[in-house]
Amino acid sequence: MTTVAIDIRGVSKVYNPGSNQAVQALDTVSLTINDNEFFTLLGPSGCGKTTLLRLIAGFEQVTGGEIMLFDEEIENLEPSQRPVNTVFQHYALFPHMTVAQNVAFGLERLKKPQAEIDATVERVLSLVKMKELGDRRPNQLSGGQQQRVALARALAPSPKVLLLDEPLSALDLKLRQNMREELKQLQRETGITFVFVTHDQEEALAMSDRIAVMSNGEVQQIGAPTDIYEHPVNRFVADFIGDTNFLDGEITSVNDDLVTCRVGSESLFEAANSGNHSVGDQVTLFLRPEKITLSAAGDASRQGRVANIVYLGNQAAYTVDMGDGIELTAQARPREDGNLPFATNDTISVDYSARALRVLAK
Amino acid sequence: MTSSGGLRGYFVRSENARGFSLLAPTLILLVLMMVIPIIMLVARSFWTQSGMIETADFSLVNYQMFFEKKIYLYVLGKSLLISGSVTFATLILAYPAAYFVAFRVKKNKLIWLILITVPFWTSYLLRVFAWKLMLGYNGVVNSGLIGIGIIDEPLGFLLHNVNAVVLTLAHAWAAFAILPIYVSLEKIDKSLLEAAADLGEGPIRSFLRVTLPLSMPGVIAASLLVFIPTVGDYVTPKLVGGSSGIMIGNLVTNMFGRGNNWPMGSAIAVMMMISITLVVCIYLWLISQVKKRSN
Repeated sequence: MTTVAIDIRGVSKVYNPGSNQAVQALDTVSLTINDNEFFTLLGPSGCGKTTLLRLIAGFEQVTGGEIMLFDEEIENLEPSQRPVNTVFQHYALFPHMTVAQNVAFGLERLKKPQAEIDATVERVLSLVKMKELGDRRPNQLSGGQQQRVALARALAPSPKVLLLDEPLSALDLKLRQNMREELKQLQRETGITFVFVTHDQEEALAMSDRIAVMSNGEVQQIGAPTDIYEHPVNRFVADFIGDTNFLDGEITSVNDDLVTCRVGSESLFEAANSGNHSVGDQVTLFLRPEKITLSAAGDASRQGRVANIVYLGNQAAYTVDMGDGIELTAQARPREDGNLPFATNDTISVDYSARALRVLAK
Repeated sequence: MTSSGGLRGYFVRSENARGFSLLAPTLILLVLMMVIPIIMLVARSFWTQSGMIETADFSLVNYQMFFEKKIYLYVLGKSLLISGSVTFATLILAYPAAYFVAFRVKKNKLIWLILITVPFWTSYLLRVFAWKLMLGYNGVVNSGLIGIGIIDEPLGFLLHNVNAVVLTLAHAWAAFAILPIYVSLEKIDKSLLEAAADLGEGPIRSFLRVTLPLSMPGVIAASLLVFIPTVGDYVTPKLVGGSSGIMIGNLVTNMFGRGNNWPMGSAIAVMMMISITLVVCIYLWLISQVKKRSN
């Protein structure tokens, strides 16, 4: 039986209501976040994900709807009274305090004995591998170290929920990848519910138990990373998460497993039947590049001409011109000698399973 | 030909020469208007005056007089105390104003800042006279209080005392305190205050633990900006201070004026500069000690 940590019920947020600069940041958003879950709010900038986080933290007030935290209405609680802590995007470490004082900040008001505070500070700092640097000032730390201190400070008061506002966005790539694993591990170790805001789909897929994809102040889809990636509910989600080939067309025949779709003027594509499709529907098909196998021209039913190659080191992205105005992007690994298997203008076979091709409602 | 080219070349090559030539206008002005007068002042403080005759021989008689006659040390000490009170009162009055503009005013901050400096568009003398009108025997405060029936007789203790000096100076120097405090408050990252609230601190404790410590550089700058010039002020004590509100600056002006003893006046001025420097040094040392302690 899972406990619901945060229940967001039809929450709307309008900035500057009633003025000509009114901005609808959230439009009746409803979602539930389970206890002990790594939940990610994912979307492009301006989609409302940070606003939702700030509403949970209490820095903004909802315009409509309500937010329940472990079955309690929190609307009337000040940020200081809410059992949640935030890791800020730019860390917001107190520059006039040492690392240890920063981490102890949220503990001192609890009127605990100093020995207990010190013990907690040391425990939390060792949790984020910063035990040796307790006497430093924030400006003597690197970005990654500041990040860890911000995490430690937010974890120290043992919040029920930890809110993370794009905490990795200011770090360089390698550090970001390491921190991903550490964050995930930290969440498992502490058992605290993490609500993580990011615009980086890779980050979201790598860490989350569940993801809510947002755009224009609305939730587009909620699900496990594989759900979101493999079964996006609409074109926005399919496009935002990963690379995708889109094919717009019209359904020409339907049977139990497959639908046939006409794309361009005369090309026919078979795709998995996801139900509720009938002949004549205008639909978008989508096909992930990694589901396509490229091989030297042979007996395969489909062939195309290599139009463009983008070399990425461990693989290369091929744009293949299929004729009839259709282009597909696919991937191929370099051969063992390091050379790419195909060159521009080569004619190659393009194979994929019809089940890999899915129908999105238009 | 070659010599002018050589001079030009010298300026292009030498970093120092270019630096000094950029500094030159300020440097010349400072030497002419500050350094030379101060040297002259210090030199004159060792001269002696008897009647109308000034003798330019080295003598410590003025300093001897300064320490022997209790009045000088007394007035100097009192001036430092008054300036200390003025500084304290100014900070107390200026901080909320600076805080308001930095955190509460969302639009048109510049207009607010300009409004704060508006009183300084009128002459200092006029502002002191305005307070005289406010606090005088038949002034605004007294007639107001009589008008609404709180008092029957005008209050005599409003003007011509130390309190009037402190009040007038605190008002006169308010902008010099508001602006540096405003700048240091404005620089505080608002997410730090959100972080403090997020970690469970209410508004008052957040202020004491985050806002106040981070605005201390502005407060320290403001206190120096107010304290240093007010010690030597002589206009305000003369106009609103009466006999009890007399300050060291009044003694100096007397010596240079009616007293006609420029060497003695110079000695008092030198002692004033030395004591201000000492007080400021001790103040800054105390601050550094407090800072060290908090680590």
